[in-house]
Amino acid sequence: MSEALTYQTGSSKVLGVIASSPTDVGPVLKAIVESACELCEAYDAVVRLRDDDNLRLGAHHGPIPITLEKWPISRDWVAGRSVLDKKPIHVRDIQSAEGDEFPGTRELARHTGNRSFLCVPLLREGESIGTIVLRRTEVHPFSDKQIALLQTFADQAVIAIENVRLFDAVQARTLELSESLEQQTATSEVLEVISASAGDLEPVFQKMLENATRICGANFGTMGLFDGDSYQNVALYNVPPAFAETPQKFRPHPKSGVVTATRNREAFQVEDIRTQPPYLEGDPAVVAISDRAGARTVLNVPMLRENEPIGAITIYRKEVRPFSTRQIDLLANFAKQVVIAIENTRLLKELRESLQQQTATADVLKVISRSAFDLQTVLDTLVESAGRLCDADEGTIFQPKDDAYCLTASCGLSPRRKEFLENCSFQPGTDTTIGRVLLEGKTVHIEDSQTDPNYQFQDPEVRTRLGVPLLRERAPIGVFVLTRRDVRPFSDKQIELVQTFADQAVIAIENARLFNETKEALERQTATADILKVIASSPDDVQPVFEAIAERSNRLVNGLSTAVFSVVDDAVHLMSFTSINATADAALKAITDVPLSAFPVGEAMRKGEIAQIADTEDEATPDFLRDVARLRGWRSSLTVPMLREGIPIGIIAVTRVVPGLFDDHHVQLLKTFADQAMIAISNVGLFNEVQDRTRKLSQSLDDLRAAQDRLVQTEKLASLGQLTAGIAHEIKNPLNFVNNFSALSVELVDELHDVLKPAPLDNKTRVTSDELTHMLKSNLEKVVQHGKRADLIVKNMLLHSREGSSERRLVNLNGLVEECLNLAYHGARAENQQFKMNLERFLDPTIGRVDLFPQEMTRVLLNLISNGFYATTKRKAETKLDGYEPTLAAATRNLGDRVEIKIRDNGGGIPAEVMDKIFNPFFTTKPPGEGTGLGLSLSHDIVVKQHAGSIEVDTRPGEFTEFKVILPRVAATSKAGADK
Amino acid sequence: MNLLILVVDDEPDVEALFRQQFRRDIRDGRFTMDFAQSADSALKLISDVAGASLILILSDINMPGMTGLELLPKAKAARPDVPVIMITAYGDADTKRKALEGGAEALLTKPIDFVALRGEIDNRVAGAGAEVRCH
Repeated sequence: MSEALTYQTGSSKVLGVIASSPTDVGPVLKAIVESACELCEAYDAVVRLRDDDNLRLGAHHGPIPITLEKWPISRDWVAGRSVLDKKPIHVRDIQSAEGDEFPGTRELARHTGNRSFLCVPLLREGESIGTIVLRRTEVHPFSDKQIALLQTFADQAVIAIENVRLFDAVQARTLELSESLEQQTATSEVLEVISASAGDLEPVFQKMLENATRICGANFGTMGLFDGDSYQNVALYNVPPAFAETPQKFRPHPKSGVVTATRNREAFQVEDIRTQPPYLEGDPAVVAISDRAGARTVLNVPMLRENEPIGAITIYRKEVRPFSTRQIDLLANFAKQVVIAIENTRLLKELRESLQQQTATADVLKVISRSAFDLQTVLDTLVESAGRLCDADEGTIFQPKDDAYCLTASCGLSPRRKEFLENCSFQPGTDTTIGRVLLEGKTVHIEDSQTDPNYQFQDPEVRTRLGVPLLRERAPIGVFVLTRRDVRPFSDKQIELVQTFADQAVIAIENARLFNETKEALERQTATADILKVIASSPDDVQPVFEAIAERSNRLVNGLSTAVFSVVDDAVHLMSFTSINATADAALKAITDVPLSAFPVGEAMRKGEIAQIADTEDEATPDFLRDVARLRGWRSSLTVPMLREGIPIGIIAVTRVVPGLFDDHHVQLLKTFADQAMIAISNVGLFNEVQDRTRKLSQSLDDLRAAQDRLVQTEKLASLGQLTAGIAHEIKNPLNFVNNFSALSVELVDELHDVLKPAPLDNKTRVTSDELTHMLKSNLEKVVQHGKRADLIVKNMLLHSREGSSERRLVNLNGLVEECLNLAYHGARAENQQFKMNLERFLDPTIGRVDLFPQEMTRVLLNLISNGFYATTKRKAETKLDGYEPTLAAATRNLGDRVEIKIRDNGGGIPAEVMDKIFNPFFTTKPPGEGTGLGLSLSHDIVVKQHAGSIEVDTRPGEFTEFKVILPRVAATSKAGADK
Repeated sequence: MNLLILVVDDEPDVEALFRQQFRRDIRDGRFTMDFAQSADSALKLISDVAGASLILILSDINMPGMTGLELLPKAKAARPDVPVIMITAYGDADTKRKALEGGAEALLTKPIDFVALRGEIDNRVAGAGAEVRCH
C-alpha cells in the first residue's frame, strides 16, 4: 500500500514538473531520476538520451560517478543493448556470468563498483530515444514492481521529451509564420503603394527599400536603376545624411559587390567592405558609404528584367554580420517585386497612353460619323484632335484645288499665320513640308526647319514640322501638317497617330465625295423617274412631258427658268417655259417661232452640240439676247438639243441668275432629260401608230371573218343547189309520166265514149256508162291538173338551184336589172297570158359596174320582182279600186363605193306581224303549193353573206312594199387582198 | 316498106307512153316504133334492122351503161343517114352543145312536147316516103 502511494506520489510529482516546465526537459528528467531512485530503492539513476549513435547524459542522481558524457550505443553495454533490443535489461550481478554479455559495462563496473543494473529503454512510437538505468553497488536485484515502475517513469520521460519537442516545433513554426506574415505585410504594403501611386514609381521604390532593409535586418539601404552605363539612385532608406549628399549617379568600381552581383545575375554579399579592393583602392563611393555611413557588411541583389540588369538593391549593416541565406533570398524576392512593379508601371503608363489615344481617336470617329457628310466639320475635328493629342502648336490640312494645294482646315494658327497660309498654294518640291510630302509620297519629319538646308518656307514661329500625306490608293489627295514652335521632334507614337488621322481624313473625304455623288445620282434618278412617270401617264400627249421637264430641270440645276422648244422644218417653236412675269414671258415668246439659224446658239443645236452662255453681260452676246436675259433675270444658260437620228427636233434651255459655266453633272442631267423628252415624243408617235395599226388589224379581222362566212355560205348554197337540183330532177321524171299518161288517158276515155256512142245500149246502161266515162274523164283531168302543179313546184325549186360555176365578176348593174325585169315579165306572161304589169325604171346612169355573182344576183332580183308581181296581182284580184294598176318599179343608185337597188311594188304590203319572219327559210304567205318559202331566205343569204351587202324592206300594209338592196361595189375580200 | 322509129330510153313506161301517144299513127301503119332499153340493145337493133326503113332515132341521154351521148357517134357511124334526136331532162347549154357537136339533129327537153315531136316525125315520114317512093 505505501508502495503504491509512494509510486503515485512520485508519478504525480513528475507530472507536476512536466506541466510546469513545458519547454525544458532538464527539470523533468531530474525529477524522474530522483523519483526513480526513491521508488525503486535505488540510489543511482541515469537518464541517457539518444543522440544519433550515442547516448548522451540527460540527468543523473546518485553517487556513482558518470564517466562519460557520451556513450556509444553498442550491445556490449547494458544501456546500448536495451536501446537496440528495445526492451528492459535486468542484470542482477554484472560481475557474474550474466555480465559476460556486457563486457563493456562489466569493465567499467570494476572501476565504479556497480553490481546490479536495471535498464529500461525510452520508446517513442516503437523507437528507442534513450534509457533510464538504475545502478546498485551491491548485488540486489530489482523487483518486478520496480521494473514496472521504471517503465512507467520511462514512458513519462518520453512524454516529457515529446512535449518539449512539440513545443519547440510549434515555436519554430510560429516564428516562420510570423516571418512570412511580416513579408506578406511588407509586400502588400508595397502593392498598396504601387496601386496608390498611379504610375509614380518613387514611393514604390521607397517603400520596397524600407521593407527590404527592415525585414532583412539591415541598417540602411539604397536602390538604383542601371541604364547600361551607370547607376542612378532612386531610393534611399535610413541613410545617414552625410551619404545622401554624395552624388547619386555613379559608376561603381569594377570590383565592387554591385558589379559582381550584376555580372553574375545573382545576389552577392561582401562581409566587410573595408577589406575589399574598392575600399582599399579608395573608390569614392565605397569610401563614402563606409566611412561616412558606417557600412561594413553589404548585400547586393540585381534587379533583372528578362535576365537583363536594370538596377540593384543594396542593404548595409553597420557591423560585420553576414546576412543569412534566408535574408538573401528575401532580398532577391524584393528585387523581383521591384522589377515587376517597374514593369507594371511601364505597362500601365503605356496602356493609359494607348487608351488616351484610342479614346481620342474614337471621339474623332464619332464626330466623323455623326457629321459624315459635312466634310469641313470632320477635317476641323481631325486637325484639332491631332494637334491636341500630339501636343502640336499648329495643325493644318491642305487639299488640291485646281493644280495646287491650299489650306482647307486649321487649328492653333495665329491670325497672321492663318491669313498668310490661306493665300498660299503649294506644289511638289523640296522647299516646303507639303512639297516634300507630295514629292516623296510619304511622311516627312523635319526636326528643325530653320536648320534644314533645303527648306525655304521659313517662319519665325515654326521650328519642328511633321507632314503626313492623305493617300487614296497610294496617290496623295491632301497633306496633314503639324508644327511646333520649339525644336521638339514628334515621337513615333505621335507620328503613327497622325497617320491614323490622315487615313481617317481620306475616308471622310471619300465618303463625302461618294455621298455627294450618290445624292446627285439619286436626284437625277428621281427626276428621271418623275419624267418617265409623266411619260407613262400621258402616252399620247407630249405637252405634260415638256412641262414636267421644264419644271424639274429648273429645280435640279438650281436654274432660274427653263424653256422647251420644238424644231419643225428648221423653225423653232416654244412648247413650254417657266413663267416669270408678263413682260419677261412676252420677251421670250418674241424670240421664238424663228428659223433655227436665227435662234441663239441655233448653229450649235443644228450640229447637235451642247451650248453654254457663260455670261450674257459678255461682249460676245448679241444685244437682243442680252436684253431678254436682263428682262428675265438670268446671266448664264445651258442649251441642249433633242436629237432624233442626228437631227435636232427639239431644244431644252436652262438659265441661271449667276454667271459662269454649269457643272459637268448638270450638263449630264440636262442631256438625260433631252433623251427622255425624245423618248416621250417617240412614244406618242408610236402610240398613235399602234392605235392605228390595231384599228386596221381589227378591221382586217372583221373583213376576213365576213369573207369566210360568205365562202361558207356560197358552199352551202352550192350544195343546197346541188341537192335541190338532184331532187328536182328525180321527181321530174315520174311526174312527167304521171302527166303524160293522165293526158293520154283522158283522150282514151273520149275514144271510149265515141266507141260506145253507136252501140246498142239500153237507156240505163247508156246513162251509167256515160256517167262513168264522164267521171273517169273528170278524174283524169284532175290528175293532170295536180300533176301540172307539182311540175310547177319542181320548176320553182330548180330555179333556186341552178347549177353551174358562178364566178364573181364585174357586171353592168343596170343591164342586170333590166335583164331580170324582162325575164320575170316574160316568164310571168308565159304562165299566164292575162298577166299585166306596169314596169317602171329609175336606173342611175352613173352606176357603172359592180363586182358580184351574176347568177345569184339574178336569182335575187327575180325573186324580189316575182314577189312584187305576185303581190300586185293578188291585190288586183282582191281590190275594189277601179283604177288600180299593178306597178313594179326598179331603181338603182350610185353610192360611191356602194350601190343601191330598189324593187318597189304597189301591192298589198306586208303585215306587221310577219315582218320579222319574211326572211325565214320556208316561210311563205302564199297558199300551199304556190311558194316554197325559200325565195326571200335565199335572197337574203345571197345578198348579205355572199355579197356582204344588206337587204331591207319598207312597207305600208295596203299600199306598197319596197325592198332595198345595198351592195359593195368591190368585194370586201379582194379589197382586203389589195391591202396586203 | 315499114318506116321505123327507134326510141332508146331505160325507163320501161316510155314504150307505153309513146305507143299510146302515137296509137293512131301506128294503127294506121304510118310507121312502126321499136324500143330499146339500153344503148347496147339499140345498136344491135340498128344493125339488125331488116325490112324496115329506120327513119329516126330518139334517144334519152341519161342511161346506165352507155349514155345517149356515147351512143350518138356510134349510131351516126352505123347509119349516118338517120337523124338522131336527143331527149333529156337537162336542158342546159352545155349538154345541148355536146349533143349537137356529137351529130344530133336536135335536143328536146322533158317533159316532151309531143306536138313538136309529132311535127318532126311528120317531116321525116314525108321525106322518107319520098325516098321510098324514089326507090
